[in-house]
Amino acid sequence: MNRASEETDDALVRAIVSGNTELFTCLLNRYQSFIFAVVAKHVPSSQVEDVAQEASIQLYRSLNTYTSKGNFKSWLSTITVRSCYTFLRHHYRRKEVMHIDLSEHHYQWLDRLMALESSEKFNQHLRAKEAKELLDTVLFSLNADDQMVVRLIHFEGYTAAETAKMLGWSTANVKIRAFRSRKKLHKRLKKLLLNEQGVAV
Amino acid sequence: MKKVSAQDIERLENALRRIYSEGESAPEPSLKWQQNVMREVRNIPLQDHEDKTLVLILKDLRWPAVQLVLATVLLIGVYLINDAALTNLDMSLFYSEVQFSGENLISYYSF
Repeated sequence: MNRASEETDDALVRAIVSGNTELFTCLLNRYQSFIFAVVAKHVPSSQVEDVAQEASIQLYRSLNTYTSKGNFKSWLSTITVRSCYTFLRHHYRRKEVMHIDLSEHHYQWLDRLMALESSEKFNQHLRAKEAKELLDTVLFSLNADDQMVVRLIHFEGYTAAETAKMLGWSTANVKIRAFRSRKKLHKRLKKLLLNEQGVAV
Repeated sequence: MKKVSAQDIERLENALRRIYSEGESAPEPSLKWQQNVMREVRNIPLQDHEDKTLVLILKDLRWPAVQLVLATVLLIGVYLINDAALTNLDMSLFYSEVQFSGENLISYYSF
């Protein structure tokens, strides 16, 4: 196992596919933190372990389709993002939307944020607990498709082509969805700024 | 009534983007988590690569097959729609029209 941990990704994949299942531990050791990091960006923190497990199992199932082009990490990130997408779609369809009821604290935090002039105070303000809760509320109020596009294109800066490859959509579809989802996002932000209830679905 | 400008929305959007990118660090996977994954994985037989390739080839052939069926249906349609077929269709429409009006053909023609 020690020697195996020095093998390249491609060699490890070949060994696992040819029947050495235990070597999958080496792949996990190498990439489990990466999987967790990607998953944590897309799903609520309480669900990260479960979705990361699903992604890892999906990775194992897909190993025999990996075409050794030395770009294992990007291939893995596609599998992980798709696992998150599946999770979000499933939960959105079942209306198990993970939203937090916004309290007076959140609206006060928002009012202060909009009033702040100095960038130092602005940055400090973004570290508050309310900031993350507000972000989650806004994002989880969108449907799974819109969420993925907002996260990948508007927040993480992927191009339409990269996003299309990750989600298995056409580039045209991603572009249209990106435009619409941003409009939806702005609508929700406007509601928030007007202190209107019902931002979360 | 509170007013919200496009700049306000943009400012909030940028703030959310920052919160997203600087978000709390992901939890670290535990040994128990890894053991759970390995337990699941040991029960999954890896599919033969050739089987997978065959499935992919069949999937690729789906659309050409649909096109072939459509073209065949179209050709058969063109072959069947000849003068006699159209006359028959016309006649059957005519008969049904006569029957619908509650008259028989003789009285219809005598009219």
